[in-house]
Amino acid sequence: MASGSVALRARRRFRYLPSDLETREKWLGFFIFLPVILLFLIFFAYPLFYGITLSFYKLNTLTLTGPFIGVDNFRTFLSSADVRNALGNSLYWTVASLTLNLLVGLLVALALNERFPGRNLARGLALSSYLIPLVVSAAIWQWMFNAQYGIINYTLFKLWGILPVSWLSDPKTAMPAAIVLNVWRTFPFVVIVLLPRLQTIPEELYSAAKVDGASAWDRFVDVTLPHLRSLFVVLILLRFIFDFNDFTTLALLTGGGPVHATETLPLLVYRQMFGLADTGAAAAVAVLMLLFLLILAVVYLQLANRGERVNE
Amino acid sequence: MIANYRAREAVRTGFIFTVTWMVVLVAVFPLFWALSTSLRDNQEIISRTPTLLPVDFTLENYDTMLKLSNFPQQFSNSTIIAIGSSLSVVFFGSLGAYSLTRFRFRGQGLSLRVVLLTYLFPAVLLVVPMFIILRNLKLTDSYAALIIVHTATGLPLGLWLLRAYFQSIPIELDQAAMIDGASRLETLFDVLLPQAIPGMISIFIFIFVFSWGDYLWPLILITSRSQMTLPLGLHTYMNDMGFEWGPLMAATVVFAVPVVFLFTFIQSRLVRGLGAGAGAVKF
Amino acid sequence: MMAKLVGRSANVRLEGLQKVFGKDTLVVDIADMLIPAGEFVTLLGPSGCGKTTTLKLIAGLERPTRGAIFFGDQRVTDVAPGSRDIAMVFQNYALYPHMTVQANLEYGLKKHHVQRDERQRRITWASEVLQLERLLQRKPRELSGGQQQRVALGRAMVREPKAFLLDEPLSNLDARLRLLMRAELIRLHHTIDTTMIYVTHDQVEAMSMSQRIAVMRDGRIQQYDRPEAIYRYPGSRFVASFIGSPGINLYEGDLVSRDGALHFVAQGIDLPLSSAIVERLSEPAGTQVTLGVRPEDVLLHLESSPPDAPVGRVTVVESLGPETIVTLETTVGDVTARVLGMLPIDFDAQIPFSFDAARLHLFDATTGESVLRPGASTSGAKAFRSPAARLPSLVQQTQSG
Repeated sequence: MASGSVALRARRRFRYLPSDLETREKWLGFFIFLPVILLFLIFFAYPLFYGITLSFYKLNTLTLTGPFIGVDNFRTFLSSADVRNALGNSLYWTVASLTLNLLVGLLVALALNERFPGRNLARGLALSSYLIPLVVSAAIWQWMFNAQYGIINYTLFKLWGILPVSWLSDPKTAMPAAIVLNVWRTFPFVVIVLLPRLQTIPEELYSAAKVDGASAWDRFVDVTLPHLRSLFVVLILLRFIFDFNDFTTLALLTGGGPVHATETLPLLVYRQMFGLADTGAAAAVAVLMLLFLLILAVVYLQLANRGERVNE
Repeated sequence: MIANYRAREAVRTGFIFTVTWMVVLVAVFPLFWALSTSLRDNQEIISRTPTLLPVDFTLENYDTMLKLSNFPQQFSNSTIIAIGSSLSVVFFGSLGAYSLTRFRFRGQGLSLRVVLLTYLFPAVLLVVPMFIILRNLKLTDSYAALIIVHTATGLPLGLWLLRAYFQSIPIELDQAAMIDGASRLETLFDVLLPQAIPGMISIFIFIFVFSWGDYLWPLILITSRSQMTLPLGLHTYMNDMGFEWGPLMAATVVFAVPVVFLFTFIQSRLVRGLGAGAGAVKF
Repeated sequence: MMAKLVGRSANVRLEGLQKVFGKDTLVVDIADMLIPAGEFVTLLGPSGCGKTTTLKLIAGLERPTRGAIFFGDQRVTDVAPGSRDIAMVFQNYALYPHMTVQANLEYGLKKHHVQRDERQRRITWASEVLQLERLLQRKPRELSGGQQQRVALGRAMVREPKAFLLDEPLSNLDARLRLLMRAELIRLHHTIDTTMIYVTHDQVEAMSMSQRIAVMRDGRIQQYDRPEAIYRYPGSRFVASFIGSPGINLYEGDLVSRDGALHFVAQGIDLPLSSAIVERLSEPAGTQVTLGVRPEDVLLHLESSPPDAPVGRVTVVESLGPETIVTLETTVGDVTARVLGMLPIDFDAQIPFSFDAARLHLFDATTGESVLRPGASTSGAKAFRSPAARLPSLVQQTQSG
């Protein structure tokens, strides 16, 4: 009854070298991972170190030649008005966006956590602003912020009689306007992180709290927030990093103007490189950004972990 | 008492309902406004009393846009690059995730953390050296350059998400396949990948959306008009002399369409998928 | 058409097998074990005793730190699982979720390059035996637990392996289904006659299905013998208490020589040992021992009692239908007795009791090893297999599962 294929099988045995079974698989595992490592090395590690070395030169962007000047680039920065302005703008931009994002994101997440008719549809639509290409959003908001024909000024005037504002041309309003765009676009990120966790909080906890006489605010603070604490830690870090490093949003909306009022550090890097044709300086600013972020991240995580341990 | 309670519940639900739909309105309005603007003629656009919907519908903006700039070319460029990047990330991400979850070799944990760390770094820091490197390799101004760069950027996210997916697939399936005679690669393709398809689709869409909308890298790497992608093309148009809002809005609408399309696809998955990954974040 | 696979089976031999996890945790330590071809052997033990790891070593899913594994004459220690010609049934079935039942059954055959006709024949055969015909096009998530279990079995059967490895396959089923599947497995083994290596922590399963049981603890085999032998002549206190439900009664005491006879003496008990026991004794008087008495060997004298019989107070009565479990509080400790029938026994009643003199177990108090050499081998060892084979397929009688 046993067919010839059975006998055939008897001959095709895989023999591994003694004690090599795990090692062989180890090699396969590593081999499969190799492309990832290669990509990482070539397109990240190498450029990173190359970029850092660049910051020690004064290079002309067009010719890519120039002398080695050591830490001169960095010394100039300590007194550079450009750098101080950019740093201030970066912090303004990042902190304001972050705070508003967390507030709005939390509120929307709380709302979307409830059951009401059309909730699924609402969920999809409310989070759609994140997916729209940034160029599109920037263009549309530029149109909406337009001083003469923009819908925002028109609505403000129609409803509350506010005189038209030159949102993007007035140094005082440019950054707030840009922040509005940023928050509008990125609050879904916060919602997407918070909502699944909110959904796992058991109803019974709220019921128990109600029975214990907790008010709605109490329930929020004592039941909801503790569950979200760890997520907030992550969110603050991530959003800070993303906003701090963000180039495209401001580049598209304001180009850094008016008069560098919205020029954050990334935009300064770009201007150094292509506007002032000083590659070395551009790299130096970028390195500064990196250092700033690293220190911040380390300090932040230490504080966060310590906080967690105290809570236990 | 009961009637009072139900009334309060109804008010509460009603309040949330209203607030939520207001948020939806705010989120959706800009795109709607762009659509609306694109469908009106220039008279209406510059009128001092704009209406919500155009009084006279017109498709002339779309006409202008198609003829004017290099729009169709840019559209196809963007598509090719976006699809290329997404497929690369899915492919390399799957292999990498398989390696990280089903094998044991030194430096696994470290590799993952380091790779994720790349998101900490300002893209602008990499821009300067990448520009120089790719220029020396004569790779600038090509599909390859952007696909490579986008893949490199998106790969950490792909690894992270697919790794979480693979980890949720019980190892007994691998064992059953091995006993059934499958090699390790066969196990990956026959057993693991079919189950990770939802994750792979999510990643594909995320990377597609990222690549589709990316402005920074095309700005740095592309110089010739024929190679431009949509984001770059759109912005260039905006800086051109005598550009008009009408055609621009038309362009943005068309630009946004694939995203909206893909987006309806992953509607519910969006909340589940990213949430699962975010919940697993540890440093 | 029931194909018999006699002759394809291999015996499995473990030689000096050791598995170390981490730096120095010895999880499996088996000096020598032979599983004869065609037999149903169970690895039985508490969680963490190494039985599943041993199974995985036999399967090739884990590599031994030391030692060798043989299938027949062939050394398979370094051979990949897929090439060992074995099939495995997992505790949670491990069916490929994205494939239909048919595809699940076919996968292993395809990977082993079995021709299409042969594949089809085997699948048809297995589906008939396990009644899967109607389910072939369904996906695993559309099946009940019992159905999934049968598909897992079918996937193993179509491979026509040298040995079946089963890792607690019944633990995820509800009690009723478990009973049905037990009988099904016994029947299957009788039909297919292939070596089956079964892992479980449930001693009832082990006792009812196996031809041989290996009781394991901390990676070592405590006793490896036929079920009857293990039950009647447990080699250690551990084995005695692990097998049998309700558990064996145990009492610490001493072997005392008195009036020319050996007694077991403990608090409130002075038990003269019968000659049948004494001649099997391998330790002298004066040793500290543990006395073991199985509940069914405890005699309750509800009507007339022998003189001097100790008396116990009833604290628990469990009426199970065909039998009653009675727990007495006595001077020597708690005594659990098992009595046939449903007897009207009151709480707090005082009942005289005694132990069946021929059925005592004695273990060294320090080492736990039995101090009695095994007695005459029990008769009817072969008969253990046939009754189950005569059972009609119970699967047919149920609608679901």
